[in-house]
Amino acid sequence: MPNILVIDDSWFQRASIRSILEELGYHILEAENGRIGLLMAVKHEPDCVLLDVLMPEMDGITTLRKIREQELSMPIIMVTADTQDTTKQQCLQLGAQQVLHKPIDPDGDLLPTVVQQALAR
Amino acid sequence: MSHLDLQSLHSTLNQAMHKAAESLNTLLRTSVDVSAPDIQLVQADELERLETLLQQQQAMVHLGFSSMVSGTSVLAFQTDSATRLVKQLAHAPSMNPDEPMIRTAVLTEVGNILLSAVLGDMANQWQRHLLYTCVPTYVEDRLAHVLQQDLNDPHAQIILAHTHLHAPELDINGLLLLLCHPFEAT
Repeated sequence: MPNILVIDDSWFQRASIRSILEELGYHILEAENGRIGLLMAVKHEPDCVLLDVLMPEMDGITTLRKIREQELSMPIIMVTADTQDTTKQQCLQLGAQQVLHKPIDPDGDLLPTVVQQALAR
Repeated sequence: MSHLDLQSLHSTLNQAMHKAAESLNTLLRTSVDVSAPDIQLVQADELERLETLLQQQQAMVHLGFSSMVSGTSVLAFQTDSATRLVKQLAHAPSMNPDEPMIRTAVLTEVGNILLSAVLGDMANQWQRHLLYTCVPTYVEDRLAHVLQQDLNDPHAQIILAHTHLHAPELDINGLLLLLCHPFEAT
């Protein structure tokens, strides 16, 4: 099954996403900030990255930019509480495939659908 | 600030606070009532004398922001409401809601989501970009004390806006609060 790297400083959020996607058979890797997430993206080259924006040490925008600078082309889906239109535009310009806003409904099919679509590119 | 400015701010905040209530509704899967925002112009040194609400011990998350106005946003719960909120959300087998680490993680993320919903909607209405000056931070303290940490000048005039969130089925009561420094615009 595809590997999905979840980069989010919230342990609670990572656990929620893990619970949704593991049930569908995905293998989940976790990183608690952008710096660690970048290292893991380079090392494991996951099939898809779910990336938060507001994080300590290295924020999601910087992480997104640095992943693309490494010429890694896996789909990156931003999963963020930041609902600003400007943030969304910036993420899409930097190569994010999609921007999802928290909260993610654990019983909804939005996250699984978006991940499936990203992997099917 | 003129009366028109305050009316405009009230309308902006009303919409933004409702976005936060929608987010809490999605998280809790129950109806969430939201009161109309109350907006006051106060001096920094008046905070201690404001409502008794501000003096009580609270579980709270705060998030600073900066743009055409700068300030602090706070989501605060009475301690027992916070406990019920955590129990409602930390239901996975791996999560013990009585563990302090779980409590902090859940409340921080709820604060992140609700405060970002408020601030993000304000930014979108203003067509400006807000910078977050820190990551959301969880503390248990007196609300007035947390608010005063960002205020250097006791005579500074500030805008204090707040609204109440209430999930009646779960008996959860929260307070969303914005403290803005309107005259330090950048």
